[in-house]
Amino acid sequence: MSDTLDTKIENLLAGLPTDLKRAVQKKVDFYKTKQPIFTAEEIYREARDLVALEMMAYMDRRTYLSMYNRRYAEHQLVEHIKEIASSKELNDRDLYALARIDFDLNGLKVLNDLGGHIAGNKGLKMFAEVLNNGQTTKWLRGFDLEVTATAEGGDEFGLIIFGKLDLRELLPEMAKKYFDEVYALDASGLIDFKDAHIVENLKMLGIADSIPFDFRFKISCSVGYVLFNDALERVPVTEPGKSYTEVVRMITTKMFELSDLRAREHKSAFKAELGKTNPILSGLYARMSREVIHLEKEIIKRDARITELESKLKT
Amino acid sequence: MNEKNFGGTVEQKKTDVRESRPLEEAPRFEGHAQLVGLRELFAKMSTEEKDN
Repeated sequence: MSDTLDTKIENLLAGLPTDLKRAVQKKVDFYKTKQPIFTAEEIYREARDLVALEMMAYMDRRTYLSMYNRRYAEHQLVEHIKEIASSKELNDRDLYALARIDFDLNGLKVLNDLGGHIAGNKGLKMFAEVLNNGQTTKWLRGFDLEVTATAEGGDEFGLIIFGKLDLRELLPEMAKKYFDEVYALDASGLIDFKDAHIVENLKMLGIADSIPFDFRFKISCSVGYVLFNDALERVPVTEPGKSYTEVVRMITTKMFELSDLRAREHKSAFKAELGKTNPILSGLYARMSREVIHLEKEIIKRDARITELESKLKT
Repeated sequence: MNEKNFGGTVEQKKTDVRESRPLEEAPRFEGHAQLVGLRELFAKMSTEEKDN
């Protein structure tokens, strides 16, 4: 009976974050000392419920996205680096076998401000589905790569890719594929440019006349990627006094920083290009914000008040 | 950035690191030697530390 329980617990904990595994195993070991007060089935159920509860700490709070969070991304990087550092054979291919991808979703602000949070949430969900199980993600998994998608707050998302493949040639193609897949999504149903409330907001910004009523809104993404080696070669690994844990922390931090930096660079380049290819969408991305609309309204109110006071003075 | 600008041994390169430099422009160490160093650090850890 005890063997069966151990096997079930082993299966339950397979692939889970190390700290979670340790916490659950500790509980299980405690309950096992209390057998037969607790049956094997009761102990297993306890462990299963604990895992479900604890895994919430690794999931993005926006449950409709069905995505892990940034904490889980950090954990995944640490685990994969450990696998590389502890592998029996030293293989330089490992330097290029792990990558972190940073995504910024463009257009979320427009969706939230013009279409409300319902439209914003739908836009987020469309994007999350691409990362979780879209064509490009399936294409990556076809190379026997482990792909973990994460939502990291607001319009920021990420991927961790790990396997036995040298990713150097694959990543530029991957970035283009994700960009194209997201840009090809039909997001036009998320904003109705004939809606009176939306037209009013666009008028406030002075851009209502420049947007045709049949304009098709698009979301897009900026992509930045970094290989394990890009970060490793920037960290003083052999400096005296540095521990493995410290060095790994430095590597993961660098991976997040570099991928973020490169996504921001891509965003700047993309926005400049969008200004030429789709100036209306470019204008919406650049100008739309709740703050701008609010300020425009305030200015109009203030101007009206000044006009009113001036006319009173004249009379 | 041209990586060839940063020749020399790992020990020499270590002294070139300036964290205050922009991220993309910071001098780099050589990947293979870094990987060897990382594996050595891991090997030095106790079994308990490795499990954690």
